[in-house]
Parts: sequence; structure tokens; C-alpha cells
Amino acid sequence: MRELLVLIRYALPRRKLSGLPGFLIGFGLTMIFLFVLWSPLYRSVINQFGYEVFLAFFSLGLTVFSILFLFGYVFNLSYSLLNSEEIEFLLTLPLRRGTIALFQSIQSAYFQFLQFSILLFNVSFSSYLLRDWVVFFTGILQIVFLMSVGNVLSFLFSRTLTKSTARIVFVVIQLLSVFTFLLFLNIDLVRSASISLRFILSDWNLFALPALSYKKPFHLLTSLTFVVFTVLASFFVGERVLFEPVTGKAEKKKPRFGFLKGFYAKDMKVLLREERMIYLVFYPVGFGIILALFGGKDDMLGSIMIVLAISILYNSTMAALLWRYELLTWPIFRTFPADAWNLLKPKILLPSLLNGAVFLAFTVFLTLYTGDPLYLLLNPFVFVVYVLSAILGVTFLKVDEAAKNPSNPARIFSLQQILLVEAVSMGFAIVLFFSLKLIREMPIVSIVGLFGVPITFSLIVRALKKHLVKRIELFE
Amino acid sequence: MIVAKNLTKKFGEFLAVDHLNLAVRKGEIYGFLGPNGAGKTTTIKMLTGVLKPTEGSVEILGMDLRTHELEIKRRIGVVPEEPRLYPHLTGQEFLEFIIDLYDLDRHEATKRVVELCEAFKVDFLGKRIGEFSHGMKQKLILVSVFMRKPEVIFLDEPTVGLDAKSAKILKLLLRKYASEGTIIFMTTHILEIAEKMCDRIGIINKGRLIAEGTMDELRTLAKDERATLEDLFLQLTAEGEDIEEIIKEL
Ligand SMILES: Nc1ncnc2c1ncn2[C@@H]1O[C@H](COP(=O)(O)OP(=O)(O)O)[C@@H](O)[C@H]1O
Ligand SMILES: [Mg+2]
Repeated sequence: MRELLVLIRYALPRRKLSGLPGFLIGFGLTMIFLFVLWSPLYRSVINQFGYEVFLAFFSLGLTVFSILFLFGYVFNLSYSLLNSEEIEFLLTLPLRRGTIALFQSIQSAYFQFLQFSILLFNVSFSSYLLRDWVVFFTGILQIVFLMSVGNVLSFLFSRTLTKSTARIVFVVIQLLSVFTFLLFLNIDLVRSASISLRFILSDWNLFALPALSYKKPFHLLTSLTFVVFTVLASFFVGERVLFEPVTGKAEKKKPRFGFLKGFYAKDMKVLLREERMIYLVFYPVGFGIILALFGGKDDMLGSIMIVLAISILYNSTMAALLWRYELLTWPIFRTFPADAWNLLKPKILLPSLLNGAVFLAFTVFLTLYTGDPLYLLLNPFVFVVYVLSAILGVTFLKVDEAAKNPSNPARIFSLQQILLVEAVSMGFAIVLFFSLKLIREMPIVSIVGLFGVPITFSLIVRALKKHLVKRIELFE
Repeated sequence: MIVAKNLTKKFGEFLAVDHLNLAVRKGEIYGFLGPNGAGKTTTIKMLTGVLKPTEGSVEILGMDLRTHELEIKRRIGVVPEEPRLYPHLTGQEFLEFIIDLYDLDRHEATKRVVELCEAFKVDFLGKRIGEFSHGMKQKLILVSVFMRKPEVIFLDEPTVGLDAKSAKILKLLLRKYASEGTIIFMTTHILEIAEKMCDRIGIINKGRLIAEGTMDELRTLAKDERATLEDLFLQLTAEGEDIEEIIKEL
């Protein structure tokens, strides 16, 4: 126990708002956010449809979010048990394996902050609406139960799962949880799901125990039993964690990009091997498709704008990420027979092409969905916006920032820089869309646009290129 | 005593350490010498309880590593090859972390830290570890290990990253600790270091211990009174290939 406290005190990653106050502020804000977002839905379910439907709704939420929390937690934890470089150092110290495992699980819960808060909100607000303390306590036990089941599963997985499998599954789970979160915002959907899925209220649904305890308070004890059992099990398994990556069979041949050469080939591999890439590429479009499906067919502009706003930021993040990896090995490049522009081009073009392709797929979807082929016309413009945002991303990445904490792509830009990337790129995009609106009315404008935009744009790139290359020369 | 019996590690199908038998005595500096990828780091990780052996056993200070992992870790010190320390801590905070974790006498430890920092020219304890160079981290970890006065010290390539003066000081310190009864196990791929610093040398290649002994014993083994460790090493690790032939081909 003393050792665990020492670890928490010194070894927990620190953010800007560090320590307990920072944690509490973040936690409070998340709770308020969830309250504003969801409390009307919760209230209207209980007021309009009565207690039966509310209980079904509550257990649906419990089931879905418990599963998501569990998955996210398990994969985050089993991945960190295999991957964390600090663990090797901790293993040289006189720490029980169980203590190290427990410390890792605290970190994982910390990283599952959102899912954790959603669960807690669901439990506490529902028990408030039901005016029932038993529900609340069962709910809290439920969360402890989930964490200890998560511990047992991850400790077992860390002995069987290879790193790359863990990585992919983890990202997919993250995507799923965000989309489920979005679906939950839609009341019609939730209502029909709650009613048709009433079987989740059965006594066999472990995840719904807090909802069940409203009518059958003895489920508080059922829950307690599970908690005691799984906590003991997680201590038992925790002492037996190996902290060694599972070595798979000989590495499978990855698809090769034969048409890419030199820096393009290398950077493509860096992009595809970066664990968050699936997320960065598919999240914006997944979001957009959901919005399009629930927003009605008439106006897709809102969903396009949101897709664009997010993917622009991710595009520049990817460009900055590639650039950062290059800077990590900085002087090496100077020994190659290539100039700075050769080095920069793939960082700008590859992410933009990747996102451009995904956006193309999105507009194809919109065209099929609405029957309006005009959306396809957006593609060249959007690609231009992507290139612009990639250039901004590369420009903003500070050289000295590059060496720090390379494994954390989420912390590449400052808030001001994010806002700037967004402002510049979205401004550009809005101008483009206005011209698109004009295209509807005056086809002649489209011709001017089709040629004018790329020309203006290539002039901008030229100016930025000079600037960037000069910056690189400055490094030496 | 450090005793390893049939120590073996497999990564998947790959045999990194192959039935290794070792015995290192009290007060001895043992050099574990081998080319890159020979299995030195893997061996030291198994000896210190970081990696679990696929097969075989380790005994340190008379205790079995499987059953007395914590007691052993409490009494040994490990200087890893690439120290990965918490980047958000300062050097000072890192030392406090170690003091808290081992429950050391704060006054005593601080006194030794001052002496050791003096010796290794460590004047950067106020900086964050994230900004340290490899050599600076190496010095910090040396200070954190030596301040505890462990009975057994494991060092993995300790001189890589150290400047000449610090390396010399390390050498003298290790010699002093050994004469006070500390057991020292160090790996290196640098022949000169093994030859000058170590009482006994084990040569490992492809996971197998291929020779072991004092310099004199190794010379006898090579049937050459004046053989240097280099001759011996090349003779032992080469597989019938003639270096001069290879050079010509190039
Ligand atoms: N975690 C691991 N997974 C697979 N192979 C490994 C792992 N760690 C080391 N190896 C392999 O084991 C062999 C010995 O490595 P190591 O002990 O680090 O050698 P060295 O003598 O240079 O310290 C190398 O071929 C290395 O590639
Ligand atoms: Mg090594």
C-alpha cells in the first residue's frame, strides 16, 4: 500500500492542471457538460413514458456504457501492461507485481475519464430521478465491479494478446464508444431501442443490476458479492502478470506501396503504423454519417462542415506528426542526398491524400443518400483545404517540442494553434462553399472556380514553401 | 553469490539465452562480454527479475529469485542499459522517489547523494529528466543505486554515454565497493573495459557462454601467453570465418 502511494505521488503522468484540484475541476466540468447534454432526455423519458420505460432506458444505458467502459479499460490496460517502457524500470525496484499492475490500472481508469464520468452520471442522475439510494450504491458497486473485472481480463490478456492486436482493437473500441455516445443523443432511437430491448431488464443482465435493484433491493447484495469476488480475483491474477510482450509468429508481410518511393514510402509506413491513425482518419466521417442520417435529408451542409472542421484539424495533426518523427532523427536527414522540400512534400501530401480519399467516400455516400451529385464537386476544393491545413500543421510544430514525449500525438499543438488552423482552414472552406452555392445559380462561376482556386492556391503554397524551407535551414 | 542454473530465454521461437550457468562470488567484479545481440541484456534482466526465464533458476544472496523476488530486489541495485525514467520528475524528485520507495534514512541518503554528485559532477538535479541526455540519466541512476549501498550491483553497459572522467570514477568506485564485499556483475561489449576492470570474465555469444575465467585462465585457454582479449574474443566468437578474407571481399 505504501509503495502504491509513493508511485501515485511521483509516477502518475502530470498535466497542466496537476494534482487533486485539477482532477476535480476537470471532473466537475465533465459532469456539468453531461448534465446539460442529457438531463432533458432523462427527465423527458421519466415524465412522458413513466417508470417502466425509464428503467428500461436506464438499463440500456448501463449495459451499453458498461460494456464500452469495460472494453476501453481492458484494452487500454492490457496494452499499457505490454507497452509501457517505465514498467521495466519499475520491475527492477522492490515492488510487488500486483502493486505495479494496480498502479497501471489506476492510470487506465484515468485515461478512460469520459467513459467513467458517463457511467457515474448515468448512475447518480438516474438514482436521483428515481429517488432511491439503493440504486445509487448498487451503481457505485457496479463501477468497482467493472474495474476489477477489467483488471482480471487485462491481466489475462496481457499474457496472450500480441501488441498489434491490442492496438487495433483498442482504437476500434474508441470509435465505437464515441458513435454510441452520439446515438444516445437521439431520443426516438433510444425510445424504440429501450422498448424493444426490454429483455435487458432480465435478472441475468449483470450490467443492469443497479436498475434491477430499484424493484429488487436485494441486488445490492448480489452486486456486493460480485465485487468481493472479482476484487479478490484481480489481486490474485495481478501478482502473476508477466509484463512481457507476447511474441507472435514471424511478422506477416504488410501490404507494400510499391508505387511510393523514398520519403513517400517511409512516411506512408509511419502513418499507417501510428496507432491512432484509424481513429484520426475515420472518426470525422463516422461522425458526419451519423449526423447526416439523423439530421434529415434536406441539408447536408451542417454535417459536411463538421466533418471538415474535425478532419482539417486531424489532417494537420497527422502532418505535424510525420514532421515530428522526422525531427526526432534530425541530423540524419542532412546526410541524405535530398533537399528540404523533398522532405516536406510527403508530410503535406500523404495525410491530405488519405483524408481526401475518405472525404471522397463520404461525398459518394451523400450523393447516394440524397441523390444530389453536386456533393462530388466539393472534392477538389476540400483537398486544397487539406493541403493548406497540413502546411499549417508542419509550420506550427515547434522544433524543440518535437523531442519531448514523442508517443503522445494528442499533445502536438497548443490551443491557440488549433484555433488558428481551424480559423484559417475553415475560413478558406467557407469561401469555397459560397462559391459552390453560386455554382448552383450561375454555372459560369464554377468554371472560374475550378481553375481559379487551384491557381490561387498554388501561389499560396509557393509562398509558404519558401518560408518553410527557410525555417529548416535555420536549424543548423 | 549470484548463481544461475540452466538459465534460458526464448522469444517466440528465438533462443536468446541458451542454458547459461554462472556463479559470481562475494567481492568479485564479473564482466559479461559479448558482441551486440549476444544476449547480455536479456541475461541481466533475468538475473534481476525483470524477465521471467523460460527455463532455469537464479539464486542471489542465497535466495531463490522465484520465491524471494522482493527481498532480493530490495538488496540489489540495477543500472539498466537505457534508463527510462519519469520525464516529468526533476533529478532531485527522482532521488526522493527512490528514498521513499526503499524507505531509506533520509539524512544518511542525502549525505551520500551529495558525495556522489560531487564525484560524478552532477549539478543538474534541479532539471527535469525529460531534458537529460543519455549520460546524465546514466549518472542519475548511478547515484540513485550507489546511495543505497546495495550488496549486489548489476550494470548493463555502464560506460556507454559516460565521459572519460566519470567512467574512470565509476571504475574506482566499483573497485572500492568490491573490496568491501559487494558483488558486481557488469556487461560490456568493449574488450578493454572487461580486461581492465573485471576480476573474471565470461564470454557470451548467441546466447551461449563460450568461455569463462580470469585473464590468465583465458590466456591459457587460448594457448598463447601474450594473447590479448581481442585475439581471444575474435578466436572464440568467429565461426571459422577469416576477418582478413572478409575485408578483402569488401
Ligand atoms: N523482447 C524481445 N523480443 C524478441 N526478441 C528479443 C527481445 N529482446 C531481445 N531480443 C533478441 O534477443 C537477442 C539478444 O538481445 P540482447 O540481450 O538485448 O543482446 P545484447 O547482448 O546486445 O544486450 C537479440 O537478437 C534481440 O533481438
Ligand atoms: Mg544489451
